Amino acid sequence: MLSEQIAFGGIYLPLFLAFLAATGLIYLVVQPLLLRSRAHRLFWHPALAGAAFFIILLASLMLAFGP
Amino acid sequence: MANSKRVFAVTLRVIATLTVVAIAVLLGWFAWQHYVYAPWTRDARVQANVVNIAPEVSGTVGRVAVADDSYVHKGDLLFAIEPVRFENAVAEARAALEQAKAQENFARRNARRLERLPRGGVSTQDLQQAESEAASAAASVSQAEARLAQAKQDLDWATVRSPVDGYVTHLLLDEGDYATQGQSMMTLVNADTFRVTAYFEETKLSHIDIGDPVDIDLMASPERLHGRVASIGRGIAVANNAPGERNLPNVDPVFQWVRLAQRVPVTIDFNSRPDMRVLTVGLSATVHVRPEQADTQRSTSANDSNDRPVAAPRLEKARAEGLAQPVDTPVMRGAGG
Repeated sequence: MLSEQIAFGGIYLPLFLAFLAATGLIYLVVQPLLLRSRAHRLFWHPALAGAAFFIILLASLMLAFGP
Repeated sequence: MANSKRVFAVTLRVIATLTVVAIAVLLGWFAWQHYVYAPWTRDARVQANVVNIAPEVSGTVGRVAVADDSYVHKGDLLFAIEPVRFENAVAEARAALEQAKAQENFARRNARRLERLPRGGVSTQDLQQAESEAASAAASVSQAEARLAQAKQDLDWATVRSPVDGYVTHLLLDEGDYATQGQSMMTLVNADTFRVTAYFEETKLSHIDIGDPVDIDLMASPERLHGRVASIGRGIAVANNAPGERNLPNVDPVFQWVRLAQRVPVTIDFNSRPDMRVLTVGLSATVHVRPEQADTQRSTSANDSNDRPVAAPRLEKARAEGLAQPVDTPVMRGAGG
């Protein structure tokens, strides 16, 4: 269980923001890899699948490490 | 043939897309429910009963026996007011009592002597007057006794002692200060009443019951503390109740598209007295109510009477008053339950 907040120069932000940032970073790393491996061709609507992938990542982090 | 292969491939891609979207919706729904409706909050503060110490008598402070932020036990000397005036008052009251007793003795004997005189030896008026003087003298004795008792009490009150086990806080009193009767001179934080007040959104109250286990994370300490829900607030201020012109309710027009959930204070008692190095009134805390652990912990603590939580007396009182509900009983708080 992580702490429910992250300190940012004395300002304590909710953990949700950290999850959001972590998801964004992971997505930024994974998305080019998926594009390079042409994985987007597996989906009828690559943008929709990408958004869904983002939500899956975020929700998984929240459920695994969230409060 | 090629066309059917193409249709099959497109169908597979549609199914793959819809599957990923469905998983995202499902996980997102669970995460939202967990994050928004789970009974936890970051809006919690450590609280304790704060005792304002005011002397019962006025006078110059002759001695301050405690230091700021020091721990005192119940009955320990806090400060003392110069006792000379009160000692003199006791001596004066004692002398007044002796005087009243002497007068009462004389008046009583005089009345008795007149009663014993033969009929006609004393007028009825004189006899009644002597009896009245004896009764009045007896009352004066009682009055003098009360004044002596009060003088002794004032002398006792000149020494101010701690009414609780606790911490001296924000001590500004010094020797030579003039202490005024009834005016707060010192503040004590009652060490036995440390608790956490968590302000929960009203949407989360249905998941909270009195007696539920709680995890407490203080911002000041990495150590996780544990407690139980002791009580749930039964009232918060309603702004619309403020009287307006001609005492009519001053109802604010609100924009109903955006509504904020009200916060309700929930009091949480610690299971055991926490490490006092990290506990200060006003500290920030994050609390998680764990209703799912309530059954397990209750059955465990029922078997182990030594593991009696600090919250137990208040919980028992709440149960006696019908405020605490069994865990397996659904509670409709919205209906005033």
